[in-house]
Amino acid sequence: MAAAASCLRLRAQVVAQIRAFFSARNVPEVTTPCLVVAPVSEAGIGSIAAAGGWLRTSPEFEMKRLLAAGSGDIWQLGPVFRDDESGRLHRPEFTLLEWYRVGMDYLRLLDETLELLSQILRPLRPAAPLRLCWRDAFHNAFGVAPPDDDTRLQTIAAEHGLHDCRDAHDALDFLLAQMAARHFSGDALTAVYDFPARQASYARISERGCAQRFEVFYGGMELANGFQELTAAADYRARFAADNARRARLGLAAAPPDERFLAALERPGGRGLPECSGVAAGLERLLMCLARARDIAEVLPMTDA
Amino acid sequence: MANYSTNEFRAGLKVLLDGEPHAILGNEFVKPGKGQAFNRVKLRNLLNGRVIDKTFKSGESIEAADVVETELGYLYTDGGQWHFMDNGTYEQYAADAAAMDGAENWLREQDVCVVTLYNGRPIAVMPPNFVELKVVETDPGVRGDTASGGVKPAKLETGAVVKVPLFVEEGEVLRVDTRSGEYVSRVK
Repeated sequence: MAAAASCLRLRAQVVAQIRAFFSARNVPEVTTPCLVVAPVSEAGIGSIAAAGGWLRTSPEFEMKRLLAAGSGDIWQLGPVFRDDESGRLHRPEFTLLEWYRVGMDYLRLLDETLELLSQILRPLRPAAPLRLCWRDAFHNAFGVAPPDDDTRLQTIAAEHGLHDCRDAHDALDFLLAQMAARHFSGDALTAVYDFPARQASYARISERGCAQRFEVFYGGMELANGFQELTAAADYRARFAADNARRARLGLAAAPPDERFLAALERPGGRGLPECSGVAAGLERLLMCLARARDIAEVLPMTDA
Repeated sequence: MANYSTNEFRAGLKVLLDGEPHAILGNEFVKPGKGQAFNRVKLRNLLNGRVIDKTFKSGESIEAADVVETELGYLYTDGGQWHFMDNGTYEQYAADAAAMDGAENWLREQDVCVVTLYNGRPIAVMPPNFVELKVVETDPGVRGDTASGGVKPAKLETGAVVKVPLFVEEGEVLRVDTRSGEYVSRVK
């Protein structure tokens, strides 16, 4: 079934707003391939095989190759594909907005992200955005400081209804979803920053052991995910190896590292990635907020697959 | 018994959780962008009726519970247990007070109930939605007072007490909604 004209207009308006936002900041739009050579290595995300390669789960590594080659600030809006994601808030294909800012640190990028999201969500008249570090968000939601001990963390997850927790990763993922669903304000953007090192993904880890990344929610719904990006090829190699060690523990197929990406950081005379931060936001989630939709299917032009 | 995976979870499915039978009421897919996918599931414990929220990792499987709903005819009570029979196989089942949970207030011999069996044992008894029962005890009717909307208690042949309009008299047969325990009408 095709969407109502009002839904198509809403999408077009938001896309125009995004273009204007980056145009005003002199950040150029780029397009990188949807068909890529390496699957994602993070254990929580599944790639879909296609034409001897893979459909991108995000444009991250292709955009980082542009950054390594000296592109400067860039942004992109386009389809991404994830295996086994289907539900009220998920589709195997959706539209991701992703941008990188050279020389801007992740907390300033968080400011910029909140500025763009507030602008888009203005028709909802949201309350002022809230910011809290992950430790405080955890404490507010569960009434205790986050424990250092993994067993205790898994116990807290079990107490809040997680059945059969495999490891501390599971517990942390579940508890974040639980905080958002149960404790975040319904009519405001909530930003959580400085995550446990274990949830770093490809964010830089500070000397204090914090993963320098943020997530932004509207009500309980995740909208955006931002990072102080790693810059050295060796750091990416180490994270890819850790991803694969966890994949092996969980019985998932190994994901060979993206050698073209690593080569782009390692090329002679190169200095890896410039100091930069990057963020990705789901376009359909924003449209869902604006249309007050219960299901992502309501804001898609059509849902054939 | 078989196992069900989270992608097969749907409302009405009966599963075994912590050794007790539960019915799935709802299932929602939840996934942090960078993390593990979960299914947030609402379940009702079929033994005590409690509704709980439980989160499963997507792809996880849990055991099916041997729970069936079947129509059984009510035979009699010995005071401690209520006895039913499958009118097709003549097999008999005994339900305890916890399984009856008030259903005994509405049952006359040979009434057909929907009985939930867990491992062959009754755990819930649903009487017919409407039953017709005779009034065995109530204050005398007040003639001409049908418009005032007043009510009085009436005791039915099964022992249940329901609120009835003032004009209802002993010996009359009433139609009662067993879900609300409310008087519906007189039966001529």
